[in-house]
Amino acid sequence: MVRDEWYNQDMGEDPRSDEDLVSACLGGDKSVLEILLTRYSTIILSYLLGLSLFTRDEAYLDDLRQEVLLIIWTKLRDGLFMPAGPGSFKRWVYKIAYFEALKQDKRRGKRAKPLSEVFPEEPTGIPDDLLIDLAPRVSDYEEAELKLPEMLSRLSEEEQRLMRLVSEGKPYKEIQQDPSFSRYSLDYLMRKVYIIRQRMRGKEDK
Amino acid sequence: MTNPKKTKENPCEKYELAITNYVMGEVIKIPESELFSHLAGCLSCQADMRNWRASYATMRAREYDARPGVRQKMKAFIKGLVYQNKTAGKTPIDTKWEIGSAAGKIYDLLKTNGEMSIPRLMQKTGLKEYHIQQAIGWLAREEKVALSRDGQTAYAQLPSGA
Repeated sequence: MVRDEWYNQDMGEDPRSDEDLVSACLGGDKSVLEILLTRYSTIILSYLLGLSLFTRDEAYLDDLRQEVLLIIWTKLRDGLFMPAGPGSFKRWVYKIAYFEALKQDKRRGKRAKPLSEVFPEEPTGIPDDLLIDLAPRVSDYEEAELKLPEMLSRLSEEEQRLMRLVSEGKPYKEIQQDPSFSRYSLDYLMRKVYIIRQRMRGKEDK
Repeated sequence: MTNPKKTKENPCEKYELAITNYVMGEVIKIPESELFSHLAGCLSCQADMRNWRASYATMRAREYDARPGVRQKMKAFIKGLVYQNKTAGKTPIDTKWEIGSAAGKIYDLLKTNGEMSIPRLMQKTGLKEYHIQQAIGWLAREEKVALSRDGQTAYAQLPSGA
């Protein structure tokens, strides 16, 4: 089913900046907390998904998002965050999400292995912390949030439908069950998604 | 759909193709060790991986939140958080009933889910914070709950053997 609001969702309509809302909250207006938490709800989930490389366990990440929102709400309610310039609230939110994700992964025994343990028989010279270093930066998420609607608008209707199925976390084998894509081989789909990515980034002309 | 053609000019193409599919949890056509050896020395592919992880995660999060029911559930969760403490006026507490039934709810929840944080208990039971604290005090007095702390967050679980 095509959903028009897919990449253009209402992320908490309010013209005020995060820092203005936090100031209003510190001034006693607790209702702005609802606006702030709604605004960050999807952003936090994106961040957690980006940290947890290729997880399909969305229920776990949804629970984790609720934990993060709870922490933010508790700290804001208790006045434990003071805005320090533009963007400070967002950075603070990402930091909370990062540490909560680490903590919960540790509690669930989901810690990432060092690469030397993944490839014990092959001394490849790969630094152990490479996977950590390959986690997206805050600026990568900001760029994705900002540019995604425009990047997707460069695609044909069929390509958009393919990317929507990909975004649902569906593996290629399931995507092939869709009547629109059943005629394509796995290899073709793998390559097609890559080409679409290039087009989204403006690296290849239509 | 146009037929995707290989671009010969890009020396990193096979790695970018692998990165695209690796991030999505799909099988890749080169050994993982080869991909990571390349990544260790190629700043451009490192940036490509970060960029795709962020874009893919953003698309998946938006798609997930657009599913029927998810958004409404999240809105209800946030409303519950923000407005749960808006009570006024003093009313006498029926200690045995109010705290006792809250303790029962918490006990059942811990039995089902294992260890939970206090904010999580609040969210799952729909009880107010002071009810949770009172009920946990009640359970602790009867040695029916074990408490621990991690930073500023307290966790409750049933004692071993309970």
